[in-house]
Amino acid sequence: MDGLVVALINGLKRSKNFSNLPMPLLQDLRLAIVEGIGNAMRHGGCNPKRPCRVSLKAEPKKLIVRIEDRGLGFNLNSALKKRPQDEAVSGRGLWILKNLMDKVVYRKGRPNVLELTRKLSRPKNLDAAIELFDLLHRSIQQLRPKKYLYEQFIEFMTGLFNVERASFLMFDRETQTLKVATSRGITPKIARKVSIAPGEGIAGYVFKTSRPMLVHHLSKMKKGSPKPRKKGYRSSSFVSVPVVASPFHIGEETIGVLNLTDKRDGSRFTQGEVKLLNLMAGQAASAFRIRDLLDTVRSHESLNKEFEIVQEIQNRLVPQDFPKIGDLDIAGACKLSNRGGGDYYDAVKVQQSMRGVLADVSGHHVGSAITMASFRAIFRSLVIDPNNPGELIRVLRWAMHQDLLKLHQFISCWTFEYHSGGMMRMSGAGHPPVFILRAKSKKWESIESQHLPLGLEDDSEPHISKVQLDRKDWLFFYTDGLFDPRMRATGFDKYKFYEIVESNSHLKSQEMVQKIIEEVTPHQMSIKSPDDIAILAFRRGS
Amino acid sequence: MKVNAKEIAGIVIVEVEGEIDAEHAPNLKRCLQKARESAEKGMVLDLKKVSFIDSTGLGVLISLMRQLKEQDRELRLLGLQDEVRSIFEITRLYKVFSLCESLETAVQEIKTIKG
Repeated sequence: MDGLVVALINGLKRSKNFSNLPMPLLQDLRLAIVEGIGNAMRHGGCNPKRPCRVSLKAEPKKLIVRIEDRGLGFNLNSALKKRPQDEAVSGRGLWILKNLMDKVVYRKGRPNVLELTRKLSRPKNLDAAIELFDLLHRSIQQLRPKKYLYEQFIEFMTGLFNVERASFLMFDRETQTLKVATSRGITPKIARKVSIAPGEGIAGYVFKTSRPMLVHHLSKMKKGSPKPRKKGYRSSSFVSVPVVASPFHIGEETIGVLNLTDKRDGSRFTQGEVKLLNLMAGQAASAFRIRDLLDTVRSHESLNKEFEIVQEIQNRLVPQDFPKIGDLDIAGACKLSNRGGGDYYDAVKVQQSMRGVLADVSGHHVGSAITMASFRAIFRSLVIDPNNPGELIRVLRWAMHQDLLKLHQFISCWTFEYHSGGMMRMSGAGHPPVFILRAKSKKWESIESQHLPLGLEDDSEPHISKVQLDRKDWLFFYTDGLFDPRMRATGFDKYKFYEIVESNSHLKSQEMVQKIIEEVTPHQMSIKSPDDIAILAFRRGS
Repeated sequence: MKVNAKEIAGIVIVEVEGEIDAEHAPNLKRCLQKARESAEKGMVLDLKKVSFIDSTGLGVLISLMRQLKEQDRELRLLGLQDEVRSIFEITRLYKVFSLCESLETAVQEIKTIKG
């Protein structure tokens, strides 16, 4: 019997989407199935003429095991009423099942069916990162001072990594040195004296280069490596990561450095932990950034300034440049309306590809802009890991869900991944379709989004659309403000857009987006309370 | 934008007329919150006379849907005009809302579920 169960589990492990399930979960599953089958065989009268049937169904968020038998059946609730005596010879199987699985259901019938469900949790790394971001974000919403956020940050990291010593150093523009903003395990007297120039020591080096550093033997560092400023660390393992609101320092300023050392269990930091630290330091930097932006908002008392504030937020967060991938020419434009705030696009280089997003936060004004800033932070922290744009939408949905629920907002978006040679993969969540103009045939194509907007639960399998862009083909992502139905009355609609693109298809992408904005603006001005417009234009081989 | 509400046997029928955009959404939200108080079984939103809805408006509807769901009450939408229906299709929200063709159908469905 165990051989059968092992075969089931191995089949699961070989499948593409479930090959990384943690061993403890697989072991639990194996035991639960064994107990379930054992129960069916003992009490369900299974024999070669009336075999038990076992199936394992793997869904994105859960695993479901069904065990069928044709015995007399039993009452599950009665069986689970009392915990088996410690000395009991038998009767433990169902209790074990109940404790290993998230849900156990038994239906009497022909056949009897025992159904076991085990939820699949997110990767622990993601959980920790999202937990930190949630913690900081709540404090931001409560308008806690920045110092409070710094304390929360270091307390969380010290606890998570179980270290005795930690310090968060921030760059002081006045003195042009790194100073301790908060620390653990370091006396205040010493902390006050710390003043590190960029490039000096490990922390200064990490700050200057924006690259994390893991040191195992402080005394055995290679010649030419940055020298530790002071000796006296109890353990030989020390990690320092930059605190920058983007994992690869993409147009972002490093605001400081986080140092951890002296793990309580005496173990060393691993590369995996450095990666997690890097991610979480990025989350924290984004949160601190959002807190700064809120201060900007609060300092403007007049409502008339709100538009300027939203514009300021958007200018800071929407990229001006894009990564260079092969012969792709890409440009974007955002046109805020007077009630605007929630449109956003972004693109980062990940290995040899470009990954990006175009999103629209529901609602308007500063509230949407702040949510957009949060979304950007989450996107930039999580963009590297997922295997494809569909998976990226899934993790973004997980990460943003609680906040969107609380704020009664939702986000529609497209995520995409572009490779040199013109291959584009994309996944859409409740967003208007993508438009493509083929240079050879001069025909338009569109791709519909398949998922629900973020802020709503969507358990469907990630859906990925693939497009091969040939030379001089155009592809457009945009927000729904571009095709506000009220603009049809003045003559702007999808067909007008097609006409504009076709007439200007020789332009570079930057010129094209400007042309579109120029053409749509009079129509936008003619309607009451127009929406924002954001456009991303891609063209190969310009 | 105009909002009219009437209650029949624990089901509140709310008729909305006009555009549900950022300007009018807060008012709609207030009206729906008030209507929800007497909606023991559920609510029907008659959107026949709604000519336009934007994301803020959709947010109000989603918020209402969640609140009713938490209270184990039903929600039905009816009478989506082409423009509004198109938004529901683009955002895939037709999957989460129960859309009905007529008031009679909507009321009957709620009565069948809630008794």
